[in-house]
Amino acid sequence: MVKSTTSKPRPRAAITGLGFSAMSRQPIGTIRELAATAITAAAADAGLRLKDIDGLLLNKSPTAATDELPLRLHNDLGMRDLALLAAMDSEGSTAVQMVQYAALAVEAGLAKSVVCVFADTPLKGKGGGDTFAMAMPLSGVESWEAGQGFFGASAGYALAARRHMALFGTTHEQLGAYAIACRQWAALNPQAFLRKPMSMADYLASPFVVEPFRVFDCCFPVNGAIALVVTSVERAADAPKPATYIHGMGQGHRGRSGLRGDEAEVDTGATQAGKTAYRSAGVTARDVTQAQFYDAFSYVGLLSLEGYGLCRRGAGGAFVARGHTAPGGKLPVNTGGGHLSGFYLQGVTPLSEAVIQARGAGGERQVDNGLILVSGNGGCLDYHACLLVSPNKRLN
Amino acid sequence: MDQVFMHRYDDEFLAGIAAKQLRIAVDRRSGKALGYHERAWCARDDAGVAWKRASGRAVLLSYTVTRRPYSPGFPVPLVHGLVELEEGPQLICRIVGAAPEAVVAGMALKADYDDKGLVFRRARAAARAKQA
Repeated sequence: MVKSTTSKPRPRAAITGLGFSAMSRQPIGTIRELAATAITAAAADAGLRLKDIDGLLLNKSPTAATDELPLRLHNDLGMRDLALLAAMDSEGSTAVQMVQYAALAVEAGLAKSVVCVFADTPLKGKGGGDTFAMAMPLSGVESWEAGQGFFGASAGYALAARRHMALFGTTHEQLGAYAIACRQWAALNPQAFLRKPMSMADYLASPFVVEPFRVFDCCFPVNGAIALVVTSVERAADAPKPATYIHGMGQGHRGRSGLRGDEAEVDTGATQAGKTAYRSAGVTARDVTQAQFYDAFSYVGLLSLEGYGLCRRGAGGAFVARGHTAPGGKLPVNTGGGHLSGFYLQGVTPLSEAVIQARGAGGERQVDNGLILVSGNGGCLDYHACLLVSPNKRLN
Repeated sequence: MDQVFMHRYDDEFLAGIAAKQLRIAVDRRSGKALGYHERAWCARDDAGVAWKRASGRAVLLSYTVTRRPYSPGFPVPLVHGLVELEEGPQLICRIVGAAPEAVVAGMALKADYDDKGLVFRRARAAARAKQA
């Protein structure tokens, strides 16, 4: 139920197609093959032929080589005379940004229908922990972290999580409550990979990877691809599936100084992204009925709640521990299980769940879809983008 | 247009570490330290900025304990801290000389060096090590 009473701007564009490749922990094809499969499926889902699509945006993982998802993918698919074509890279915020730029391009008349795709094969012969073992440049001096043995994506996020614990008293159990809520949602999602019920005792018994993170605080990578078709509000009326209208969008990339008081670990560009998105849609954080976050680690879910103004600063842990984000809670979060228990395909995981929810296709996990916040973030809490979407053409 | 050579910044800092000197960039006018991310001045050879030796005194803002082995050169458990120098700049560095369970956010630190470069120790432990 959207509570704001002021008149709202019309939506900028709509998502009318959602396509999946197979998803697996086993090798199932190359990134390029998986992307082509997802694009074909998204076009069919939108009721379009590939030749009806005149825009293509590509998003590869930072761990993949450029040639694994090349621009010439459009030739593979026989897509000719494209009006829009780009490979984008804003790390984990890219997928949401793709949809933003696709919507703006459609609204500006640059293209009619744009397909946005992410594809990755992080599990080609090794575990996810090995694929994402690169040192993250967090101190400002290039190569410093590698020289210090500070390896792995989990390390930077774990350091941020511990800072939140030190500042606000956030506990292991609160991180666990977030992970357990995600698992509860995953149990309701046939597409989720980790559906076995998890208790707090199970969570606390899982081994540490990088303290304070346990295995169950970390995402579950899979091989696969997801594509979305973005088109105009007018064309969306002809689509076979219910449209997911894009009402608001924002980005925030606050930067780091590395000086006393910076607090980049707990105060992120999500705040700026959220404010811009709420303003553009004529709504407030109180109007959000569900959130689909990019939550590669449990802590990111807690922090996203705070950054997007969905709970008080520092209160993310307590908010989650009270069950607010779990099934039956007042603010459902990551209703497909998210990155922790659903599957980790970076920014298209929350995007795909938002479209499923907006369509009312969530089955047992369907919740109020009046206004859905979708977020992406990348670097180590450095780059943020969000969308506000709804099945409603007009927000009341 | 001045050519930008950002590697000069890293070169200066890393040369300091090799010489067992923890260096920070300081704005000569204000006397305030610059963060390690701020390096645009370096490209301009800004005479208003100078490298200075830090005191080595610091506080631990946050820390991690790596349990999963990533590199044979860095056996686990391995403690890293988000360290704030007395002068204000922050960096990530190994914390040594204390069991992981004895490490707490807020503890006072002192810079030291081992065979891999810069480390930080608990301030009192560092003082004892020097006396010995």
